[in-house]
Amino acid sequence: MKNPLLRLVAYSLIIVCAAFSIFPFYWMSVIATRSAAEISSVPPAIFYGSRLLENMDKVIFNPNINFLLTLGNSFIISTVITASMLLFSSLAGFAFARLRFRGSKVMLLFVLGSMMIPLQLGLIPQYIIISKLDWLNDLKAVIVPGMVSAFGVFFMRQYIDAAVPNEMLEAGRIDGCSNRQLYYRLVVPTIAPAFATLGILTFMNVWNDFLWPSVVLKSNEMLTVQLALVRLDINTYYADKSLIMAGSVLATLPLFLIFLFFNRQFIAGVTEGTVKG
Amino acid sequence: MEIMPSAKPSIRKPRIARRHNDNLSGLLYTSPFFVLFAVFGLYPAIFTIYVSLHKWSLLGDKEFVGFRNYRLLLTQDPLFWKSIRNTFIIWFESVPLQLVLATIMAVLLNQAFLKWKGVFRFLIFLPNITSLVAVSLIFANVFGVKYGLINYLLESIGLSRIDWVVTPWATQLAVSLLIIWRYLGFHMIIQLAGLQSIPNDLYESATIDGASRTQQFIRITIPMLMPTLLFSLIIATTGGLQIFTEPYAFMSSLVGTNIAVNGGSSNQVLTVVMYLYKTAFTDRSFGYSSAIANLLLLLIMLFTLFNAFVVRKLRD
Repeated sequence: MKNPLLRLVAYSLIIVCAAFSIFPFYWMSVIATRSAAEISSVPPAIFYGSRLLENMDKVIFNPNINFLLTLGNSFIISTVITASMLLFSSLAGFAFARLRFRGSKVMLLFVLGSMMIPLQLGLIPQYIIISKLDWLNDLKAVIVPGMVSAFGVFFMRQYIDAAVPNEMLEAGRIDGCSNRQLYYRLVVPTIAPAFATLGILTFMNVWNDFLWPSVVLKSNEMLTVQLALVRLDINTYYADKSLIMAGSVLATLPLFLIFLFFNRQFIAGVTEGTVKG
Repeated sequence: MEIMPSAKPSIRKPRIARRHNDNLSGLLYTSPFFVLFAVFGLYPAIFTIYVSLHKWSLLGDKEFVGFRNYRLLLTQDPLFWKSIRNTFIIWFESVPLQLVLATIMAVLLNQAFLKWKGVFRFLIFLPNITSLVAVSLIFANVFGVKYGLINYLLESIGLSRIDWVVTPWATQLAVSLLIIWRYLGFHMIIQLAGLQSIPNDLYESATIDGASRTQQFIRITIPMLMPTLLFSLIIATTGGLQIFTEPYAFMSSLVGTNIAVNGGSSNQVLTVVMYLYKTAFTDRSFGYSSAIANLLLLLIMLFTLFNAFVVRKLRD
């Protein structure tokens, strides 16, 4: 595109889209710096106010909720699920892509088919299972069902199929590697971008999940940060949304940093996992 | 981890040893998924089919009613049909525009002259990482009737306010905008990946043959991008038919959970999964709710088959 006019159009389009994408974030941070009265005013406040520290203080030392504790809970849940998701998905993906075992074709079809079943639909029986196991109000209730998913397995299979050449594994076999050694020494180092992509997606989804945790976690010490957010304003005089926004800023910050840090690897993994193979 | 000793490079039977090893490792490596899926996926699915043939309020006994739940749903429940209609309206208002925009953005981000690619990509993807609690509150704030930004802007240019809470088309439009906002970056990244996988020599030889940039775009880029576009479409369709959290959280922030459960005062954004949720957790009709779940699953399967059919047609 040599034409300067076209370039201008291209830049304008993309800047409009980027503005559309970040404006709600901007507004979230604006409301976090305002008082409840200032939010409900005409014209709406669209620039930063002066109450950020005060609101943060009310969030962190909230009388209803130990906010830092719920951040910790979310951190534990997201980290454990992400780690196990990466391990189990890559092992299964490796098996489906590169091992010849009985029933593998049918089993892979099964994995694909199971992606069609919407998880919310099984909410009631899942709740019954968790209560029978006596896991209600226990972080396990969120962690265990999320430890590996069909999407993760399929994503890893696609990636390994594209990125790990058969010849490499054959060479490893000739050197006397067992399947486990092939996995650790050859597969794992090759699929680092896929780990970054699936890891970020998983961490993000678990961190932001609301429906399932709200069903199984009830007591204040066991909440995830998303559940804590909507309870921040319960005891305020009138529902003070600026507290929820200040809390949201705190709750989004870890994801923002993780994503910023792994941005490049994340993109690289998407390319291989969805397009090739 | 592995119970069997690893395959020594035996000269006589390497193939048999390998097959034996692969059988064992294969089962071992895939078993975590299948165990978890059996407990938290398959069992609930079968249970849902079983419950859908009963009348059950979770506390009392299950009363067998055969296919009555399905018959009532299909023939005597206007709200069910309305929820299907709403789901499709929201889908049509969000997905096509979203995919077109995502593709345009991806094409632009793939141009050599464009600077700060990484920054734009990051900013447009950002909505995908936010929590819905925050997002729904912000959107409720933007679309607020009294103090909302949009109504303020409408009034300041001399137009009249829109009541986003009770006007059906307006609520549906607001939810669709929220969905576009949230997933635009996701689809853009997928399209970008598709664009980058198109081999460069295709363009080079086209340039040698004298094809213009526009011709190259129509003859090479679009056809080569088809598989990725279909991938996006499939995800957006199966996800779109199950849309729940966005309309529910948005309505909760706007008017409170009591009205949100019904999808607004005139059920204008009640989607199928929201209706399922309402019949289960508000009305306590778990049999009825399970029947909705199964009908939805059927609908999703039909669409997936239809998609697969279209993909095959396009390939031929």
